Amino acid sequence: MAQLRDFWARWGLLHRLLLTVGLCILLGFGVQVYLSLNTSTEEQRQRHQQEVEELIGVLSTLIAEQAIIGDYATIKQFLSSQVKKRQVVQRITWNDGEGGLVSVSGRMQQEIAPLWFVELLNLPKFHVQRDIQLAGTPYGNIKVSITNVPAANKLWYQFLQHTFNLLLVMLSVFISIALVLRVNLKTMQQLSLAADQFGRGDHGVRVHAAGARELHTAAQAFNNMANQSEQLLTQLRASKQEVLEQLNFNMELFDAVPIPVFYKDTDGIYLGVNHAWETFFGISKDEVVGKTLAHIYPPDSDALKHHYHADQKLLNRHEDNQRYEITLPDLPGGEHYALFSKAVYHYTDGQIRGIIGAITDLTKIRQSEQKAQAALLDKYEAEAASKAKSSFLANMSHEIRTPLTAIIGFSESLLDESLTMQERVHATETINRSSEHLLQIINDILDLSKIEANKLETEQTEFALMEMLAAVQSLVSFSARSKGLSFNVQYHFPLPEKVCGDALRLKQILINLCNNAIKFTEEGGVSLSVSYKATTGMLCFDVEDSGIGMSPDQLSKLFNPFVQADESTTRKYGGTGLGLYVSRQFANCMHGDISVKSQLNKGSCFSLQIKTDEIDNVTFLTELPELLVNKYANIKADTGKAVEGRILLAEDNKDNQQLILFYLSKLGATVSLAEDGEVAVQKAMQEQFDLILMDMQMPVLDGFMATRQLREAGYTGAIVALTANAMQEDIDKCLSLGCDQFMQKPIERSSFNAIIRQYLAPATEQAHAEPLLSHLLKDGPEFLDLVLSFIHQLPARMNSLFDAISRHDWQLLSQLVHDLKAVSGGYGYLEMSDMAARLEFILARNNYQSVTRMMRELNALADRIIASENLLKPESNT
Amino acid sequence: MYFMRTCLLFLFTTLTSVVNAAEQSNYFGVINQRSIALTAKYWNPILNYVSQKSGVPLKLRMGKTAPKTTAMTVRGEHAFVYTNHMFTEERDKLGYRVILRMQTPSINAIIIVRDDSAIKSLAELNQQQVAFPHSNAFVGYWVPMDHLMRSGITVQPSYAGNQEGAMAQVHHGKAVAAAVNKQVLERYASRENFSYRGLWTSEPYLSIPIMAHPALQQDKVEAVRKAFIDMKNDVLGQKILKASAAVIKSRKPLEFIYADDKDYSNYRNFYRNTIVNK
Repeated sequence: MAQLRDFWARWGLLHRLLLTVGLCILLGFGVQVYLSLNTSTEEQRQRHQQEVEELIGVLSTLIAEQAIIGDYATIKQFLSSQVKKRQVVQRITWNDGEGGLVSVSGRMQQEIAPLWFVELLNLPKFHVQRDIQLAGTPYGNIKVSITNVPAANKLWYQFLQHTFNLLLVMLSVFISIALVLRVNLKTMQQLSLAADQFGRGDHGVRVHAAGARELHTAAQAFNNMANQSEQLLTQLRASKQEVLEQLNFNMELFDAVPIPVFYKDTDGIYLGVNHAWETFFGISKDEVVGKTLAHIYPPDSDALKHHYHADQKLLNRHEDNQRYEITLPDLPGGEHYALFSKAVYHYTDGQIRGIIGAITDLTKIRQSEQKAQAALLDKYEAEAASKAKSSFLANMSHEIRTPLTAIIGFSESLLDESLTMQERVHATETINRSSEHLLQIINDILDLSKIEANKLETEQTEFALMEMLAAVQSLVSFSARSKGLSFNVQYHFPLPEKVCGDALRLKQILINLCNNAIKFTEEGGVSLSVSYKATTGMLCFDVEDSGIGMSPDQLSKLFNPFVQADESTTRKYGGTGLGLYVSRQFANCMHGDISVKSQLNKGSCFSLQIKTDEIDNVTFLTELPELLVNKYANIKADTGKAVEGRILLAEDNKDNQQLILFYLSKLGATVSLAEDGEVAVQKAMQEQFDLILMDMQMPVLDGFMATRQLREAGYTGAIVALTANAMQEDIDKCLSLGCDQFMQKPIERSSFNAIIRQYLAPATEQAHAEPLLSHLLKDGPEFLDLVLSFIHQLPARMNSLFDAISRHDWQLLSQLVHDLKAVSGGYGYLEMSDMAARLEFILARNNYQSVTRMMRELNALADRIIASENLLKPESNT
Repeated sequence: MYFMRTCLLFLFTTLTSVVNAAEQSNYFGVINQRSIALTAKYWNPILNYVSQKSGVPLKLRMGKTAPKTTAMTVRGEHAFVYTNHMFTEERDKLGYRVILRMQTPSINAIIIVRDDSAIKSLAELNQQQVAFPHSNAFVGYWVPMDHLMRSGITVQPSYAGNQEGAMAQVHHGKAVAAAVNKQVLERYASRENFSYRGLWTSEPYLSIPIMAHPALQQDKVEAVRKAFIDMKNDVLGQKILKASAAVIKSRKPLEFIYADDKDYSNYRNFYRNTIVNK
């Protein structure tokens, strides 16, 4: 077997193919011939059988018929013709069954096929014998003998033909195979050689593609493979170099990463760290590579345990990556706060190879965070304050606009000629009230700005406590009465007669607390309780009301600036939300505080405590002084007398000019006007004035510079500054430049009058005793009789007025005054008409205290008119 | 005398040889009315049955044509024969005697033309070709020719060889007319869907009898007669008769009944008086 294999192995493809193909062809031919011969033999046999059967079938009927006739000659003829016609029939014999026999034999045929072939075919020599019957009557039997010689000869010819075809095919196949394979074998040999050369390193070898498609394809494939392999090898060499460069780069990059980076294997052994890591931990790479966590952290340290457990989680696939912050106390430079970011890295097959980590030093970040957090808080506070300011501004806008609306609206309404005196009085009172409200708002805002600028200052001066309380009571009572509420002051004696502090601010606080109580009380009343704690030197004021009260939540934000109890309070009751805040700030400035107790729908109690400085030998009162009792009756009425003198008014604003001129005219002063500081300086230097009222904000030359120039020029007259700036520094500036006093805008009339009376002498009555003539007489004497008739009626009119006053018949008095106004104006006595109008205004305001004074003035005026009769009588003119 | 002795000797020898021949082969002759194969299919089953029943082996033997069959009968080769050709004066003298006949209606001679023929009468057949089975046929030649001749009609006879052959000639237009056995014609026409018109029909003659050779032993003759007659009473015999009737497309089985020479005296009389061949 082995020898056979060896033998076969030495055979080339061509020989193998030829042998195989030849054998296959032979085998195929043999099988085909065998099957063909078998088939042909069988076919022959069947054909012969069939032919004989057919013959017998044909002959049977014929023979039977002829047998019936007895024509044996015809029968023989039939048989002979059939034998001649059918080569395979060797003999036909008919036996009539009665001894008669007709037999015919065919011609012997030449046997061409060799005996072996005939024996191989095994063609049967057979005969067929059949009984002849016709309609059940036998007519002997017929026997047909078949010869196989023709079949054998035919099959032999077929065999020879097949053999010839076989040889022809084999020859053709062999030649074709040889021709085809020759070229292809050459290509295969070339492929073999080329592969061998390529394997030995000759990467440039290529095969010429020739031969069959498959070999062509194989050669091309080899060439492509060689090309790609050569390319790949080239790329591989390049890649190897690139990898080396990349590795080097990676290591340098690793070292260049500014944050500590490390990697270790699954046993926790450090495989590599970068420069930043070395610096961070103060350990060199050589010291840590090959070591574990225990080499870096102290044994049993929290950091060691933390890191170890974290590593285990990663390695056990409980996590894919980690981030955790940890405090590292034992590092160069002290405690550090770090963020560890770790993850596993893998082999290409997915197995965990180790852990890689980066450390972010959060120490500075944490510090920055804290700073940022503080800044954020500040920002939030600022935003909150800004928001509150925005809300405040919005609210202020409303608060400011609201009274302004009333002021503007009612001012305009006063121009309406159809208004009644009552309506005019109402409009004027509304304007006054709204103006005071607006002034309060502005004062609150100014106080707030002082607080925010840390310029809130309080005075420490001695003042009479009772007088201050009387002023408060007077003001608050009026407001309470207006709302139908009661207001009373409870004095818990003993109380110091004088205290040292800021009376103005204290009064402001108390007025604010009381007005708030009145504002939030609908029925009942407000009480102010005053007490003094000698042990602590604290003055205590409790303002209690029976109002709407507040909830704890409202109480918590009550003293916040710009915040009222809640938004609904603002909407319903108005207000800026600054009063309590400012009041508390003032209280704090006065070493005190304001606290509050309140129950919703029950009422509130605001408690003010301030520290008063000690006053030597201060008197403690045990009861209310009598003076204060009387002073409660009247606060607003002006009881000041007229003055005489010249005043220079330096004011550029027309409205303020009109207002101040009005005030001064009522006082009786003579006024010269300067519209800017330069004019004011000129007039002051050229004319004599008892007083200069200097507005500080003027064009061309402001009040400050004008005052300085006057003082530098040697002017010594009184200069009172008119300023809208309420800041102390502005006031100080005014005084330092030479002003004797300042008057704050908006001008409060009583204060204004008081200041004017300080610098101008009271007016004498004589100045007012000259006869007063009618303006009608200016146009001619035709109205003389009318004027004289008025003069004659005037005493009676005056008596009627006094009579009405004595009977307190204010309605009659109003009617009489109204008539006097109209009549006196009609008769040309405009001064009397104007005075009557003022009296009518006073009566409309129910200011009956001022009626006496006005009547006195009206009566004086009437005397002057009556005195003029002497001048008007004709006798007087002669 | 010498002549008479010679004739008698000849006759004796012939008859003896015939008898011997007849006895040895018991040939049963059938006058040619159809093809030999059809005749064999019809008669062989009957003959086999009769052979078995009578114990007298019968074998169909006939000539290619009716004349040849008649010649065989005349030579005494037939022990029994189904023919009506033996009633001529000369053949009557041979001594064949009637023993049976088929229980069939009498046979008639009929001269026919195709149904679509233009010939409407016998007279129009004058000088026309008329097909006859053969010159020995009784109703197929002698009777119709006698009538034609007695009618003064001269025709040109053509011999088809057998009854159906003559019918076929008219059927297929080879002859304008034919003179055939009417009963045979009817069976042929039914089988072959042949439409014809009869120009003349003869008086009825009994159907063709079965005659026995005068030299046969009477017991044998009787046995054969009895077997033929008893066929209709035997289940097998009925079956064979029915099958044979089907061969020739006859609706009824052709039973055999007793007959003798007296029944066929009119044949003899015809042959004595006919003007055919005279």
